[in-house]
Amino acid sequence: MKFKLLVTFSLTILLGLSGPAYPAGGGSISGGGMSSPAAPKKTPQQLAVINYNKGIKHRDKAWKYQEKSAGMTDAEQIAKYDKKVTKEFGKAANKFEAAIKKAPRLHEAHSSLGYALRNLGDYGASLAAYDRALDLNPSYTEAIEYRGETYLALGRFEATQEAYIKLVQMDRPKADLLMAAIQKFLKKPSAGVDQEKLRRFKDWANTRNTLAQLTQDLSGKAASNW
Amino acid sequence: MLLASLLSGSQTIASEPTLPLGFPKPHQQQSVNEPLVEPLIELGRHLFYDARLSTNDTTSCATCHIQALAFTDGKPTSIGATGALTEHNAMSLVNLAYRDSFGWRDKHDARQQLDRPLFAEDPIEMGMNPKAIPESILNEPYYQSAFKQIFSDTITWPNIKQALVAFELSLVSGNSEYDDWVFQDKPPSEAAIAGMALFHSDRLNCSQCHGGIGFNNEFFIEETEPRTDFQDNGSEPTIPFRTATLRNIEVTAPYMHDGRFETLEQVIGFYAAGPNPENNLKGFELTALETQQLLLFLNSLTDQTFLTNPAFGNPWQRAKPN
Repeated sequence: MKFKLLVTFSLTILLGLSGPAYPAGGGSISGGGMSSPAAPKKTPQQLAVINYNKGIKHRDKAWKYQEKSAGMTDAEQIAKYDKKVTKEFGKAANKFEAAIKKAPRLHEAHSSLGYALRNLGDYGASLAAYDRALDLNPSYTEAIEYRGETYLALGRFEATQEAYIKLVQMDRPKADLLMAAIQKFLKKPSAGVDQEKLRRFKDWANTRNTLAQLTQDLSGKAASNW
Repeated sequence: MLLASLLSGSQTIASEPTLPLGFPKPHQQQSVNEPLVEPLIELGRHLFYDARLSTNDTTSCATCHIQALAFTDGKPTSIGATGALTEHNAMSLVNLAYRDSFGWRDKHDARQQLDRPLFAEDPIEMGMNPKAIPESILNEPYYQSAFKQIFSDTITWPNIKQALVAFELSLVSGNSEYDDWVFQDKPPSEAAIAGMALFHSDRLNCSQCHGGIGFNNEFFIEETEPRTDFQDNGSEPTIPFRTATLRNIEVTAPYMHDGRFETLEQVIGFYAAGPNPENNLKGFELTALETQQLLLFLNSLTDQTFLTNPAFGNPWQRAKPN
């Protein structure tokens, strides 16, 4: 009897020390559960999109700061916000570059990189980025419009005119955007621009602007008026 | 079969012709989902030029809608198959895909509008019987094959009208000098540009009624002169008429819904006199130079490519169609 008790006690101790039985492969049964299978890795395209979208967020932040700065009069405040704008466009450019590393053919990323670089004052790199976007997708009118604005800032008026006409053929609303940028530029042209070229460009722009206003229905928004 | 199911039941028909540079997608296309296909347009073209679609095999659609005249016929009003005169000047069949509705006084859809030239009895235009298709059409091998290919149905009036409309909607004109300027930055003469400025000026205000891509808007304008040759039940002396397109206006004389004016100078003179002050047609002064400039602008709306495009021409080799 004593022996039986001893065996029973010993077995009880042994069983207690060995702990509960785990299923093969480890992990607890209750509570904490088994470890989950590893999450699938994101594809390069997905990572590119994630970086691209982060870049877009930084770009949008930069726009918000630009909007605030435009309404200010205090020079110190303006300078402070201009710094913020530059910082955000810098971050945006980094993200777009990261996107391109993962998906070199993502034309939207090239175009947006071009836009960020232009706002950072790097016109040469900006143009190269737009060119790459359009090599990948010649119909990407956003890049045509953005590139047109870059040409404008550089005083390359013939190229700006070509971009505008291309947009009139392909995407009238984008053409209107470029014309708005042209009209804004003509109110305060860049310093050092050839004056004779500027005068001819201004004449052309005024004629085209009048024509644009007379053909508003081509903007698509007036389709129901036909 | 798939094509037939796609095409049947459409109230209006989308078309996918090759659009002129810079032209937006046609308005008509926006209301349907199914695209047209080339065989349907081609069938429509054959029917359009086929005089067997008339009571005496003398008159096709193309009799009154001649391509070289931007699909008008150069007459004040047209002559039907039996010699009766139509009520109105043959309207240009240009850029119909950008219209909301059709007809000089009507607001029909494209297929409804065809009932008048095909089936009207007073006056007879083509004099067809809506209850019967001519045997000559039913027995034509090209039609037997084409209708079978395109429609799951046999040759029926709804299918004939659908094909005709498909061809009509494919008639898009947008390669004039003016279009070269707008879409390719090739400006016309300085005089034509000055004419355009006059056209859009507050003084002349032509674009109030003749605006938009077709230079016609979707306006119906009251005629102020009492009509003596046609009365609308004799009760109203004035009848609203649709404004005509000014595209290819250089070749679509005579002008107005009744073809009363032989020249554009006469038309300009009519409006200069202020024919309808209540509807903002108060008249204007115009010098001789300005009249010439305006005419040059109007002439810059001529699209020679459209007027001579073989794709819109008569496909029949034999003499029996028109």
